[in-house]
Amino acid sequence: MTTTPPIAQQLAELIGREAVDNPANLSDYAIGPLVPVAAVKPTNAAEVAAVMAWAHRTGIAVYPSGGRTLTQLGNTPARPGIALDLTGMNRLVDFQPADLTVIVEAGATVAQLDAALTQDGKHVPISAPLAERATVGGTLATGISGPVRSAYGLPRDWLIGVSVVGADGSQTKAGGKVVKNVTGYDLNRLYTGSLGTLAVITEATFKLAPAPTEWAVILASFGGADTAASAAQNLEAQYYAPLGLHILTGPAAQRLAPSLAGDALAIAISGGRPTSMRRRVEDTVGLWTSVAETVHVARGDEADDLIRALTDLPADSEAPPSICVRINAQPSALRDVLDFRGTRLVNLEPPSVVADVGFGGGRLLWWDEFADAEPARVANGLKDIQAAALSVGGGAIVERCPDAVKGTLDVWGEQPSGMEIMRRLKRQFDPQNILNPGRFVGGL
Amino acid sequence: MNGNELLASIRAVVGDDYVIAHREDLLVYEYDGSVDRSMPRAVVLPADTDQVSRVMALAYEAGVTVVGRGSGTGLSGGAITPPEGLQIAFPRMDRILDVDTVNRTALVEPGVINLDLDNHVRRFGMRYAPDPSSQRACSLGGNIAENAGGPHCLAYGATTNHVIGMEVVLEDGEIVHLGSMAREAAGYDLRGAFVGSEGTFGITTKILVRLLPLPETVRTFLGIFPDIDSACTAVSAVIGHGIVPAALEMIDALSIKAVQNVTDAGYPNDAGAVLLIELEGLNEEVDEVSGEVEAALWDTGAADVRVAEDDAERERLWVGRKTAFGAFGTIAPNYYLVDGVVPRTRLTQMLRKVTEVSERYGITIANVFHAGDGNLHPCMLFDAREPGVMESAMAAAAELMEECALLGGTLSGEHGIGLEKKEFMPLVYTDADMEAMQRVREAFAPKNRLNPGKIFPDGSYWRPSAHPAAYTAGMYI
Repeated sequence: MTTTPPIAQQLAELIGREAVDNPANLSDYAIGPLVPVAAVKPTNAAEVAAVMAWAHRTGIAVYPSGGRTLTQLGNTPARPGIALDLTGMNRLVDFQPADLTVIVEAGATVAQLDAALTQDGKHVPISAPLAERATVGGTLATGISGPVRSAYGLPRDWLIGVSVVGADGSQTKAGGKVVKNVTGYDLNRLYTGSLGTLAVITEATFKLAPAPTEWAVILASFGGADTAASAAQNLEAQYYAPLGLHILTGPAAQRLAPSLAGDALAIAISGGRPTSMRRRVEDTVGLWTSVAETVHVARGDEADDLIRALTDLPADSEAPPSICVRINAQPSALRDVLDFRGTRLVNLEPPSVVADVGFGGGRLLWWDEFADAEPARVANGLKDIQAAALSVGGGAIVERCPDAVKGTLDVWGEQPSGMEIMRRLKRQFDPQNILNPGRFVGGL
Repeated sequence: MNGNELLASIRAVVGDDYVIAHREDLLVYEYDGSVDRSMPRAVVLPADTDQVSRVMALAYEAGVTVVGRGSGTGLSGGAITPPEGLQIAFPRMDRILDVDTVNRTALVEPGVINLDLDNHVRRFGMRYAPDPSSQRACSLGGNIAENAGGPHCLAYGATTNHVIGMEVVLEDGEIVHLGSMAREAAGYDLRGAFVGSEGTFGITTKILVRLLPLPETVRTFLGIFPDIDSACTAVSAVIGHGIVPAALEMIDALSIKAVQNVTDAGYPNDAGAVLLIELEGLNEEVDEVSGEVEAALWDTGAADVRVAEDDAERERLWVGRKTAFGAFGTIAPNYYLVDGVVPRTRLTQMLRKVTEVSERYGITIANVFHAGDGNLHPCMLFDAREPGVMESAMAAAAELMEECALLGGTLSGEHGIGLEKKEFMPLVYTDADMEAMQRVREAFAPKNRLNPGKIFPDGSYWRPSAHPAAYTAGMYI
C-alpha cells in the first residue's frame, strides 16, 4: 500500500476522499510532459471553490480538465500542479424550450447536451471534436468551433450567461438567462477562449436555435485545388449558400471520401426545412456538376457521419494528426490557405489542408511520424508558417505538435496587439498565476 | 497644467475651430437621450486617430476625465460628462473607409451613422444587421459603446456579433487593435469585452464590421390582435413552433394611436396590439414558414393578418415602428422608457405588471418593443413640468426593473446601464460579480479616466443635475 501524498491528502480533507483520484490514474491527466501531482473531481461549484481557495492559499497551480480531447492545445505548462477534473459536474440544470435557453454544468459533454436539446427540435450550434467526450466547459475554454462556424458563429456567440470560480475561490456569474443583455460588462466573451487562465467555468447558459430538420452533405471532387476554390466561392455567393463549406486536400480528403477521385474535395453542409433543402441540394448539385469530377449527395446517417468526421479531423481519437495548425484568415485569403499544401516541414510529406471557405482560414494537418526530425527544425518550420499566415493578414495557432517542439515555439504565434491589456487582465484575475500557468498566449 | 493650458494644447492638436468651450455652444452637448444633463468643460472634435490619441494623452497627463460621444441618442446617460470633463465627439470622423464584397466587411470611422452604412452597403447586395430605432441618427462608435440592438437582433444578434476588429485609443492615448481582420484571433477576446463597455475601456477610432448578404426574400406580416395578452400568446406560439423570425415586434394600442397621429403606418386604430413579424431567407423557406406563422397568429386570436404587398408597404410598416418614440410627443411632452428583459414566456406576466404599475402611479405607459427576444420598452409618457411627476416616473421604473429581475430577466437589453440604472445593478449582480467586472476595467483603464461614475453603483461620486424644473417641454422627444 502506498502512502497518500500530502497534497492528495489535503484535497481529500477539503472535499472528501472519493473526490480525489487514484494516483495510478494521474498519467491520464498529463498535459504534454507534465503529470499532475494530484487530480480532484468535484461534484459541485462549492467544491470547486474550496479547491481554488486552497490553491490560492498554497500557490499550487491548477489545471482545469474536461474531456481531455484538446489537452494538446497551448504551450507547455509552467510548473507542476493539480488537475481539476470537471466531468463530475455534468447535470442539465434547466432547459426551457419555449424561452430557447438552456443551463448546463461545465462537465456535461457536447453530445449529451445536443441529445437533450434535439428531443425538442432545438440545438445550440457549438461543436467540438470527439463530442462524446468533449465537455461544454472545455469547448468554451478553448473556444473551439466546428464546420458550420461560418453560418452559426463561435461558442462565444451562443453563451449568454456563465458561472465561474475565480482563482481566489470566489464564485461569480456574468450575463444571465435572457437572450439579449447589456447589463454590465460582457465577461461571457472574455472567459470564452481564455483556456481556463482567468477562472474555472462551472456552469453555462446558452441561447438556442431551432435545429434544422434535415441535413445534407454535398461532396464534390475537383481536378485541382484552384478549380475547387472557384467552385466553392461561386457557391458561397449564392442565396442558397450552405451553412458550412470546406475544401480538403491530401490525406484529409481521402479520410472523408476514400472513393472520390481528384486532388481536392469540396464539402458543402446544408441544413434546413424539407422544402428549402430540396432547393439547396438541387441548386448546389446543378452549380457544381459541370465543373466537378464527381458530385455525391449524402443524407441521413451518411451526412451525420461525414459532419462528425470533418469535426473530428483535428483530434481524431483513432489516428490523431501529429501536427495540426489552425490558420486564422479572411475568406479572401482562400487561395493563400490552400497554397500551404505545398509546405515542406523538414523531411515530412506536405500537409493536408482543410480550408473553411465561408469563415476564412482553416487547418493544416500532418499525420506523419517524424521521430528522426530535430524538434528545433520542426519548430522553425512552424514559425515560418506563423509568419506566412501573418503576412496574408491572419495568424496561425499550432494546435497540436510533439512536446519536444513546443519548447522553442509560442504555439499561439506572434503576440497580438493588446498583449499588455491581456497581461493586466491575467494579473487582475489570477494575481498568483495559478490557473493553467504558462499555457496561453505570450506565456500567460 | 490648468484647464486653460490643457485646452490651448488641445487646440494646437485639433485646430481652434474644433474645440468648443463657450457655454452657449456647449448647450447641445450637456445632454443625451436620457433624463440627465451636465455641461462638459469642453468638447473636442478630432479629425483622425492620431488627434484622438494626442488629445487623450494630454487629458491623461492633466488628470482630466474623457467621455466619448456618438450622436447623443443614448438612453442611459452614457454620454453625460462631468463638469470638469472633456467630451470627444466624432462628426469629423464619419467616413466609410472600405467596403469589401469578398469578405463581406466594411471598415468605418466611429462617426458613421448606422443607417448611412446600411444604405451604402445595400448597393453591393449586403447590409449591416443591427438596426436600433435611432438608426437614422446614431453612430457606429456609440453602437459599439452600448452594444446596440434593434429589431433584427432577434435573428442576427446585437452589435457584438457584427464587429470583427477595432482600433481603439486607451485612456493614456495608446492606440491598440482589438480582434483582427479575421473572424477569430489568438488571445483573450478583448474585442468582445470592449463592445458594450459604455466608453469606460477606450475610444473607438476605426471599426471593421461584418456585413450580411441580402436575403432572396423578405416578407413582413402585420398581426392584428384585440388585446396585448393574445398578442403575447402569439409570440410564444411562433417561437414555440421552432420559428425565429428576423424580427418580431409588438406595438400596443396607445403606441398605435401615437404612430397614426403622425404618419399612416397602416396600423388599424381600433387594434389592441399589433405584431410586426419579418421572415427572411430562400423563397421556399419563407413560403413554408409563412404558412406556419399565419396559422399561429390565427390560432392565438388574431383579428386579422396582413402581409406587406410590396417594398413600399413594408417600409411603411417599419417607419411606424421606428418613429413610435418620436410620435409619443403627440401624447405627452416627455417620455422615459425602461429597457428591461424577461424570458420570452414571462412577457404576459410582465406586461400585466406594467399595466398595474401604470394604474397605481397614474402614469400613462405605452409599449412598443422587441417581443421576440423578451426585450420590453415600457414607455412612461408625462409632462415633466407637473410637480412630482418625474419622481413618480422614476419610482415606477424602479418597480418595473425589480419585476424584470424577479422574473429571471435583467435591467437592460440594449440601452446600457450608464447613470440611469447603475444603482439597480445589485438586483442582478452580487458585489463579487461586479468586482470581477471591475477587474476588466482595471486592465483596460487602470486610472479609470474614461466615463467614470457609470454602470456600477457608487452613491458618492459626481451626480448630474437632472432636475425637472430645468426641462423645456418637448425637449426630450
